[in-house]
Amino acid sequence: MMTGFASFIIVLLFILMVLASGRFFYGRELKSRARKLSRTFHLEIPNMDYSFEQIVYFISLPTNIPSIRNASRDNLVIKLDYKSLIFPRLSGLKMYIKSEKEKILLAYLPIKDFRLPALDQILKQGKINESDYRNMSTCKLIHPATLKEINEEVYQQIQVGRKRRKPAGAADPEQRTVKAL
Amino acid sequence: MIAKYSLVFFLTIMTAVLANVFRFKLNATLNRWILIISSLVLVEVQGYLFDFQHTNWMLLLFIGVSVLSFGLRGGIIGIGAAWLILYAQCRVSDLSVGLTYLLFTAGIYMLIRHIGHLQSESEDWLGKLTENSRQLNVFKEVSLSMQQTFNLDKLLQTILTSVTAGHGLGFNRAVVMLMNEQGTKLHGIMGTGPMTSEEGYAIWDRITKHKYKLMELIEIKEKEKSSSDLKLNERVKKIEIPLDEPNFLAEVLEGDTPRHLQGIRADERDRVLQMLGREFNMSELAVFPLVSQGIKVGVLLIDNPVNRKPITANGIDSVLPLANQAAIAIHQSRLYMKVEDMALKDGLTGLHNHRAFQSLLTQHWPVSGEPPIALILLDIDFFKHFNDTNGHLLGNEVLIQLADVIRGSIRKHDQAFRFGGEEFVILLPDTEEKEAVLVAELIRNRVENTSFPGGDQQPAGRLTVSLGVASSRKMPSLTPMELVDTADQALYQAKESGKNRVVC
Repeated sequence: MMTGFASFIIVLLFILMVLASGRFFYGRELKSRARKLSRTFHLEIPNMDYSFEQIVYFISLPTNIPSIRNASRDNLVIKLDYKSLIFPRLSGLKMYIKSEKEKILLAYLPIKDFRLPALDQILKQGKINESDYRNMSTCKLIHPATLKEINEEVYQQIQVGRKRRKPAGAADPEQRTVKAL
Repeated sequence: MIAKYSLVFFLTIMTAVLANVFRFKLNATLNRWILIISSLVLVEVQGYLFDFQHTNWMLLLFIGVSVLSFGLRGGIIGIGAAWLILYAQCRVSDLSVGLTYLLFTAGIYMLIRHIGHLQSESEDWLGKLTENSRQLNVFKEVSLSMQQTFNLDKLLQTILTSVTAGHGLGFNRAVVMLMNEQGTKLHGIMGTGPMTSEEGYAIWDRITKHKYKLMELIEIKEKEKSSSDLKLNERVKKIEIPLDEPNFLAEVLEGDTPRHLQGIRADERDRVLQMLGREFNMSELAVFPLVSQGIKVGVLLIDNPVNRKPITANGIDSVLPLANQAAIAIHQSRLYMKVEDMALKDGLTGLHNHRAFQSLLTQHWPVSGEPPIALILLDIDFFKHFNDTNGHLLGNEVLIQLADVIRGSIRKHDQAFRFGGEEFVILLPDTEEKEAVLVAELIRNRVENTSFPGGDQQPAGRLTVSLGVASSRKMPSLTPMELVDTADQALYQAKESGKNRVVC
C-alpha cells in the first residue's frame, strides 16, 4: 500500500525533475539544432561575427557608484534570462554586479537584438526562417567563448567606459571562466 | 514494497527526463502534449503499481499540467479526461471529486494568470527600460560628438551614422537635405547607407568583424567620407527640390511633424516621392523636419532598403529627439560658419581678408627642407585718379571685377586676398619664383585685356595693375612679414618703372 505522502513526493519529484532538467534539455536541443543548421549552411558558430553594441547599459559607464567602480571580474555575473520555467525560452543575457550586500543589474542583451550578419544574409535569401535564426543566434550567444568575450567587454566598460578599449577579442589571458547561471 | 517504491521513484524520474528529452525536439504544441501525456503516464504507472489507490488526486497533476499547457480550455478538457479515467479505472463517480477538480482548475488557472500577468508586466518594463536606455545612450554619445564640432560635414556624418548604425537607432539608410539660404529649395547634402542589400550586408559584416562602437564608427565614417557611401552620395548630391511646388517634403516642413510613407509606387503622383522611389529604391520611408527655433533647416529621411523591416511608430519616436538636436546643431554650425566667413572674408570682393592672409601665410610658411612659398602683391595703377574721375561706387565695382579676374587666373592651390584698399595679395604655396612670375604675368595680361567700367578714363586708356613678386627661396632666413615687405618693394619698383608690369 502506498501512503498519500509517498504519492505527494512522487508528484513533487516529477515536477522538480521537469523543472530541473528542462533548461538543460532545452539548451541541448538548441545546440543540436543549431549545429545541424550551421553544417547545412557551412557556418561555424564560434567564428560568427557579432557586435557588442547590442548590449544595453542601464548605468552610464564608467560610473562613480563605488560598488560598480570597484568591482572585480569576480563580481561580474552573467545570467541567462529565461521566459518560463516549464517551457523555457531564452530571452536574453542579464549582466549583474554582485557583491555580498547587493546585486545591481548593469546591462541587458536581448536575444531579439542579437543580430549576426552571416545569419542576416541567409535569412534574407530565404534559406532560414526567423525561428532558425533565433535558434542559431541563441546558440552563439550562450557559447562559452561569446560569454567570455561579453564578460571581458562589460568589464572593460566598467573600467574605462566607451571611449577607449582593447581591440576586439583581446581578452586578458589570465581572465577567469565566465559565470553563466 | 521497497522494490515497488524504488520502481515508482525510478519511473517518475525517467518519465520526467524522457519527457524533457523529447518535448524540446518538437514544436510548441507537441511539446505541451508530451508534458501532459507524461503526467498521465505517471498517474497510470502509480495506479497500476498501487491499485489506483491515490489516482483520484494524482489526476490533479494531469489537470494542472493541462491548464499550464493549454490554459482554461486545457483544464476543462483535462477535467473531463480525468473524470473518465477515474470512472473507468476506479468506478468513482462522486460529484465532490468533480467539484474538487473544477476548483483546482480554477485555482491553478487564476494562479497561472496572475504569474503570467506579473511576468508580462516585468518583461514589458524590461523592454521599455532597454529601449529607453538604448535611446538615451545613443543620444548621449551623439550629443557629445555634436558638441565637439562646428564642422557641418562632421555633424551630418555623426547624425547619419547614429541613425543608421545597427547599434544606434538601427535604420538601414539616412539622407539629409538642407534648405538653401533663400528657403526656396532643398539640396541633398549627405547620405549614409547602402544602395543595395549586398552592400548593406558587407558594411554590417565589417562592423561586426572589427566590433566597432558607435563613436568609432562616426570617426571612421568621418575619415572615409570621400570613399564611403559613394554611390548613395553621388545621387544625393544631385537632389534639388523646389519648395514652391507642392510635394510631401514641403508639406512636412510646413507642418513641422514627421511623416511615415508606405507602399511607394513607381507611378506616385508626388514627383519628389516618385523620384525617391526611382533613384533610391525607396518603398517605405520616414521623413523628419529639421527645425530649430522656428527656423526650417532641412529634412532627414530614413528607410530600410536592406532588411525591409517596417518602420514603426516607436522607431519614429526614437529618431525625433535626435532630429531636434540635429536641427539645433546644424543651425548653430551654419551660424558659426557665417560668422567665421564674415570675420575672414572681405565683404566687397568675396576674397579672404588681411586677417585670413596673416593666418594662412603663417600656416603655409615652409619649414626647413620644404618647398618655397611665393607672394604676389598687386595694386591698381592710378586708382586715386579712377575714383576721382568715376566716383567711389564705380571704384567698388572695379574692385569686384578685378577680384573675379584674379580668382580666375590663379591655380587651384593658390589663394587670393584683399590686402587693403586697391591692393591684393596672392599666396602661392610650393611655388618657385619663376612660376609665381608666370601667374603674375597672366593676371597682368588678363586685367589689361579686360574691359572695366570707366577703364577708358585711365591715363593709359585702360585699367592696369602693377605686381611685385617675392619668394622664400631667395632668402630662406626671411620671416613671413619680411617676405611681404620684399614683395611690397618689388611692387614699388614696378610702379616706379612705369606701372603695368611684373617685378620680382
